[in-house]
Amino acid sequence: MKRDPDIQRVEERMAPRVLSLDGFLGADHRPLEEILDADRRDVEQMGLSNQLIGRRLSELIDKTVAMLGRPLHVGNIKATYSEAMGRMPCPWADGRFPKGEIEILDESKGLRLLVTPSSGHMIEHHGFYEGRGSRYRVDPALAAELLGLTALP
Amino acid sequence: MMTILVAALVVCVSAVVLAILLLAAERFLINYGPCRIDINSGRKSLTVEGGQSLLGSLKNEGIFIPSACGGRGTCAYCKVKVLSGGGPVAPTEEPLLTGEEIASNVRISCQVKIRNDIAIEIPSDMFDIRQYKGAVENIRDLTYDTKELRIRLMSPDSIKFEPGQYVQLEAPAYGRNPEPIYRAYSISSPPSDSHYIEMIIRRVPDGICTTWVFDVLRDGDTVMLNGPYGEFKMTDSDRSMVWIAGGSGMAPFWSMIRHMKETGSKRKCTYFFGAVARRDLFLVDELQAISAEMPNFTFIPALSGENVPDDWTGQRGLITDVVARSLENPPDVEAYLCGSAGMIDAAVKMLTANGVSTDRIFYDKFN
Amino acid sequence: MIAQVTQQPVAASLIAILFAAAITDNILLTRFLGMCSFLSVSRQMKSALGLGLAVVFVTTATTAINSVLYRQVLIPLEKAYGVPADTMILILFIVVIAAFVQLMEMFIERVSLGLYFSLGIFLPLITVNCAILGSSLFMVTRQLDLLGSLIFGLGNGLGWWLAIMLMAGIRTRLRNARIPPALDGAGITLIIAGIMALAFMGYSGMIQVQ
Repeated sequence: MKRDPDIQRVEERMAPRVLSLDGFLGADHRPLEEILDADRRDVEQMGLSNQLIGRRLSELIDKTVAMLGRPLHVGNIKATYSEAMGRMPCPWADGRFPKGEIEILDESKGLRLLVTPSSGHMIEHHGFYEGRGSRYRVDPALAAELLGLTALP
Repeated sequence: MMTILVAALVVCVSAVVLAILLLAAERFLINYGPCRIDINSGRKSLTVEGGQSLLGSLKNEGIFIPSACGGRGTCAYCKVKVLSGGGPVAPTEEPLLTGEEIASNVRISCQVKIRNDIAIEIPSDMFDIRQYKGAVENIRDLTYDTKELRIRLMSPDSIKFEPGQYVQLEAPAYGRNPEPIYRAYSISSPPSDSHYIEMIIRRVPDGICTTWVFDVLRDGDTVMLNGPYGEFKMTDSDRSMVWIAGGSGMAPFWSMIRHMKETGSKRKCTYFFGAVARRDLFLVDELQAISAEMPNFTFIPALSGENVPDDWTGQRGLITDVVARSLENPPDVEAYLCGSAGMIDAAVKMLTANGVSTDRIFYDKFN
Repeated sequence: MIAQVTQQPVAASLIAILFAAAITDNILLTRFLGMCSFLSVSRQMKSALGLGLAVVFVTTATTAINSVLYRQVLIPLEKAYGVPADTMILILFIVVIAAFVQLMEMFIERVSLGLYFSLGIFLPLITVNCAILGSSLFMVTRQLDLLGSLIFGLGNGLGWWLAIMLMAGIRTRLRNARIPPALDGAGITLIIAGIMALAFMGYSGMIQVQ
């Protein structure tokens, strides 16, 4: 299959050891376009949008990062940022985000999500939830439940 | 029979003609010949083979521009001012440059291909940056996720730097990515220890270089690094200093304070070191011993976690809040920051809100 | 065949060839050639525009070059040695196209970097685009002269460009549409292409194309 060179360049940056050790795609061997399409479809079926999920996740991430490692409590959610030095570029090269990871827990529902400071940006602006099997894969349904998002009217 | 031969001949002749055409085109169209790189209006002039990237050509000539991604056009560290001969800005550069930078001819040097004579401008201390080969002398644990890496320099066998500067450590290529990558680490040893370089490295989840340092690197291994880089140095003034660090942000200050002690500096300095829990603290005893010897130096560790034990006698709370509480005469202090990007952002915000002017707040570009 | 058309006054027949190639006999929507890049690079208008223009340029040029090759080399060879020109065209045309695209990539990079950044990156993609080869092969079946081939190639290229631009436009809109999951992606794109082809068939009465 012939590919759009722009998408191909982004996909190359997502490979292991280019920007991060394990890359952004995990064990997902589908082309990036297919990954994006499949997640967008799932999100639409829930009656949500990438923009909404991404924006809400970004808000939570920004607040958690500002806590510098001290856990953030919002309702039932406990979010903790493991700090790291340096910044990580987005594979689309349109922003750089603090390194490190954020664990979002909702013990009342027994939910756990591991994201990076760039996750919200990538979902909002690129519809990218990372590949299946990636350490920071954001399952849209899980994210929606954690963030308390319900279908748009 | 004749027909087949002629047919084969026609195909061969056409292929040969086209191949010759392509070779000729390669020879004349994409052979840029020797090109001249003029650096800082005649300060240095290099002649390189055209067709390579500006970053790569400079590196081959022993001029190192900071770059983390190995020339893939993602890290945006290798910015260089191209005065002439750079050609139009490539689509791969655009997202990495601000409008202001494009207007002042700043380019991403790994994405600039040398096609003709080119004139560039770089900070003059970049001429002093060298590539070093060293051997791991010792790796010791500072905390459960932080290590101190001590490297003996082999060739060249000594380095000159100012405390606060950083080097780039090369994580060699392995696995699927054939390019080595580079990560910046502040030097934590004092300049007097010139045959060695120490770094404080905290494990980054999913990090390429830190995982290599933690899991692969052993005593005696050969490592490559280049440096020193960075404008994060103490100024010559005698204004009192506020140092704010978190995690492995300790490194430049560990170099600075030992340098100040060796040179007998009397400058007033308060060092705030923030951590979440006690297990994240390190070098506390050493720093407290130094502060006992140096009356103008105060070391203030602070813990921000939820379950700080009762016997903790130091400060509590977010490091930014701790600093805000004890900041004296803000318009007249210089602030030096090193830590995670989140900490730097928060500290800059807090300091400016308290009246420290932005040109007296210093932190490393790689954050 | 088109022979009837070419007997008309030259300008009129050229316009007819151009129009027929671009619209009524659109190489993508009626012959379904060049589908691969059509499906995969029609997500965004910007990429579709770049690729479409690259195809216009390369199709025009290679159809003309291959026309010269066919008339000046292969036909005389057939007459002299009995090498059947029609069996030679496939292999020679594709080699010519591949070499031409390579040459062009180098040429554009040398001459205009701006053009190289906007079009050049698509050139490697179309080295083996079947619409381009198809244009050259149809040129032979239609027995066009050099000028006719040039216009025919241009028409085919423009037709392909038009089709991918339309598709990119539709797909941009489609992003907000609810599509049955099984049809999302390539499925719905093919269905749209089919409907577009039906629409283009509506033009077929306008010019006599046999």
